[in-house]
Amino acid sequence: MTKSFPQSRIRNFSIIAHIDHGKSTLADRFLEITGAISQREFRAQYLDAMDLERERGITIKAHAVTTKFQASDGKDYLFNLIDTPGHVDFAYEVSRSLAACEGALLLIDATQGVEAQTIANAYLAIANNLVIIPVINKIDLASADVEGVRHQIADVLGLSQEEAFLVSAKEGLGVKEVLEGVVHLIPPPVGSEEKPLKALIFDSWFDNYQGAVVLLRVIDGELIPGMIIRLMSNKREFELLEVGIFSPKRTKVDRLGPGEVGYVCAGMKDLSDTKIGDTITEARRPTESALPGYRDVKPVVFCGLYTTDTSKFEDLRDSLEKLRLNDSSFVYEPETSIALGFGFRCGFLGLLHMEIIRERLEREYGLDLISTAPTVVYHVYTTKGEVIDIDNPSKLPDPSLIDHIEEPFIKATVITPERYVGNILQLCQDRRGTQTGLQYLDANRVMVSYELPLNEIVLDFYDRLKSRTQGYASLDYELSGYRHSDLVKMDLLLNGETVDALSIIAHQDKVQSRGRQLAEKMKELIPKQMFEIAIQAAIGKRVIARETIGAIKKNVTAKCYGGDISRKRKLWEKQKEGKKRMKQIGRVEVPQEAFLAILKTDPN
Amino acid sequence: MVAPENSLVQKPGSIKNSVKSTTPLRSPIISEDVGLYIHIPFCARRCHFCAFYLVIQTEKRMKQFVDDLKKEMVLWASKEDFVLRKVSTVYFGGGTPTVLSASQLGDILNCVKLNWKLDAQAEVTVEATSESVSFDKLSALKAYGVTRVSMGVQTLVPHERETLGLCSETQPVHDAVQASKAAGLSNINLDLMYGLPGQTLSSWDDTVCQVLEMRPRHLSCYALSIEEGTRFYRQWEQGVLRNCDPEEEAVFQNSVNDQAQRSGLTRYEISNWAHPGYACRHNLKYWQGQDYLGFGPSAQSYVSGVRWGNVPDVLEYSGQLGNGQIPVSDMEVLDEVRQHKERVIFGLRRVEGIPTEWVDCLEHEVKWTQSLAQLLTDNLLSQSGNRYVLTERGRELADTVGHMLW
Repeated sequence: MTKSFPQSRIRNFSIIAHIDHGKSTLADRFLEITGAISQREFRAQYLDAMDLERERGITIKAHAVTTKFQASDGKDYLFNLIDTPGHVDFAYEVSRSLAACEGALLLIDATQGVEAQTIANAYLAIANNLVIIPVINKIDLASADVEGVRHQIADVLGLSQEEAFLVSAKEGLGVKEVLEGVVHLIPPPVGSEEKPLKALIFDSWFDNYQGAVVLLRVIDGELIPGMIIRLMSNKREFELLEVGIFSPKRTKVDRLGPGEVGYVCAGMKDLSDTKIGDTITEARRPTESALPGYRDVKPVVFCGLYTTDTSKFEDLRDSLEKLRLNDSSFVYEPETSIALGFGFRCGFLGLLHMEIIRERLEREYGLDLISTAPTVVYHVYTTKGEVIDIDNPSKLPDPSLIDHIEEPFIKATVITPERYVGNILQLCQDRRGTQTGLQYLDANRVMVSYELPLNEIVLDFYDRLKSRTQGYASLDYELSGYRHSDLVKMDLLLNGETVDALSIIAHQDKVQSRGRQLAEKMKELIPKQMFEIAIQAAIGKRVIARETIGAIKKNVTAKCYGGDISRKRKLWEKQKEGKKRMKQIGRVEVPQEAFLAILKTDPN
Repeated sequence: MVAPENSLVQKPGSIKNSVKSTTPLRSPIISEDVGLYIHIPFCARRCHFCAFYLVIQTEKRMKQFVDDLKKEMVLWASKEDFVLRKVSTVYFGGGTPTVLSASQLGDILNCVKLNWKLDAQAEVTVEATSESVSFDKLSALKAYGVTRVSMGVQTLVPHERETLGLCSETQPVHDAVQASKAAGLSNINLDLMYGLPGQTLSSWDDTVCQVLEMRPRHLSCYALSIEEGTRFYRQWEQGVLRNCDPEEEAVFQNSVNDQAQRSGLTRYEISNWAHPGYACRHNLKYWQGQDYLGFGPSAQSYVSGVRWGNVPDVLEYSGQLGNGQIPVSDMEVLDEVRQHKERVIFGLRRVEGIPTEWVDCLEHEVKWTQSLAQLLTDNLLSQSGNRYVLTERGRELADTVGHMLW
């Protein structure tokens, strides 16, 4: 189907939107209208293939689908729809998808208006020199404010509002017109078949049978099975075994030409060869210059992951290895905790990313995990003049060796209905934020900008933002660099033993109340045992909070005859299972939830 | 005699063989004699705390049941496991066994005698309620071979009895105990409960005092535990009823212990007191890891390291027996280590504890041995001579001890 397609009738585009603005639904309609999937095969949010993606209504991985559309001029056009993730954690994935496109549909929910990620995504598209077509969705709903959104498009985003399409993706209203718009407004790819091969890798994953599967966009030249390709970053060469497209089912084709989007397999065993953003060329006739590629993405949130059953450590290692094959954005390395045993320190793009990885490990790999509280990477300047990166509070050097500590800050953009502005300012203030801007988007929507320490965000900032605005506020952020802060390490001790997994780094002004809350929370979460348990929060040797859990004095004296024996046995069996999920600190048995107690304290 | 050819469960004979061949026991836990437990699943009404399997009594059901029960006994008696084994105790539990007529109970006992080697000195206990016995009935039971009566009294405070769903009058209790003694059945146990809603220490002491005045040979006292499926459980869920505080409970327990000792009853198990020589021989089997075979729906058995339970349903029970099947619903084979552990755990419930050699078989269980050492260090367990016994604190935390040694 792709063989004879003239380049002038190819359109490569993405849909970009704030979460829940209807991106996946619109993609579904496109696939239906273009006949890419039949009614029989259809299931809602077709492109969100992972269970997790469907359940959470978010797109985690980028996808690409090739379909054919017959426009009103009677001609067939080849559409490559490159889907993008819609969450703040995955801005990086969005930008790399956009680099493979000539245009983007900026989808805005008519009932919500422009949100934080609408703006962030629009800026990414502008930075990639894409043609942006605004599409206003959910116009059929009673609360739709089409005119308001039009104004926001012009005033906030600086885009032409006249070009905005009005649709209801759910009802299929206006969708065909958008497809016509894609044909007429988005330019065809430029690129030459004659020039040496130049293709951009924008995603890759691992297939057990074929090795790395690479999703790419051809810029110049063509990809034909049998040819020898070269990866420009490491000069490694492979024979091209298979070339194909997703329509949306995986379909082999004879070639991929300039402007086309598809996948290749070349027997690449090692996913690290297929660096996202790398350029593929032909070994025999290489291109002169590689594409600019992407900046390396660095994890910003870290946590320790441990199996509750210490004998499952190897399973965790294998699962992490497998998972990383398809998600190069997270990192891990082995670490040891006195409290939790052998595990891994893992780095993520953000909190959602962390949650998703953890959930996938538990669900897809059947692991039972304990995760420590998330932390950021601190720059510790020692008195000897060294700088150390600390991603685990328990690794912080002794205070006497520390000259000062820097922590990462972010630029946060929050968009909220005006009536919640007070709540948001309060929240940001409590989280040590500095206001950098406040702008009315229209009569009742406000965009607030803050500089905030990232470690104040990783602890439930997003949840609190949502709860203080009844779910109306949206958040986007980007890292803005490191700054000096008064930070100290607080330890938690059980009967005098430090629980390394519960150490936190906190700001001097807040550590007192955090310590008190953590100790109280631990008292709630640790069950009574046969002896008294002292819980202490301490900075160095100075105890700042203390709680005591009294010993169990007596069990209920129940009868114990034939039937009772098997009943007791079953009960103990169950308790034993529960006990497996406990961790032993000295003699104290600590339930898993206790390791997340820090998340349940109010950092304000 | 028809062997249950198409039985879904393993035949008991083969159980024993397989257990013996795969996990030979170093110490002879297997007992020569066996206790029979006979579950009579009928009551006039259900008490509010009771979670036992039972149905409300009707003549028709009871007649059918006695027939089924006899079928079950005959099936088991033919097993090679049992033909040579002596029956040293029989225990009729329930439910309320005495809702059956004396002749029905006699019929069952005759069946035991016909098919099993019932020891001449066997202890034969019948659980009873005061409403369901009379002098005549008790005399008849004595004639059939019953040697011991266990009466569920629970409390003698009228409003507490009402709360439990019992008849509030207490005179019938006194009368029944009197009648039992007159009928020649003076080996009487009385069951009491503490930790009841509305119960106070003085009302408890009052019950205990009245009970001891009846001069029972044996006394059992349990804390109320709120079991799923009972009215109490529903009330607890609704927040109407609360669990008794274990520390308050300790006060009740100490009080009954003091009074019982004064009237010559010695504690021999956490919840049981008896005059010398009157400990319940059947119940001792449970705590000593000895074999017992249960008949009737929901009855539990433990023979040669295999534990099983009968189907907890009269109709299904009847149906399976009708097909010549043994009505077992779940079964597990305990390996040697598990058998030894259980014997230790339940043996420690006895005041005299366990011989230290019972622990020898478990010396390779590293974690277990550590737990045992910890219990000794924490003074929950003590060694006196060649026996391990629970300390007073250990008795109060018997469940935790059991859990640790599990």
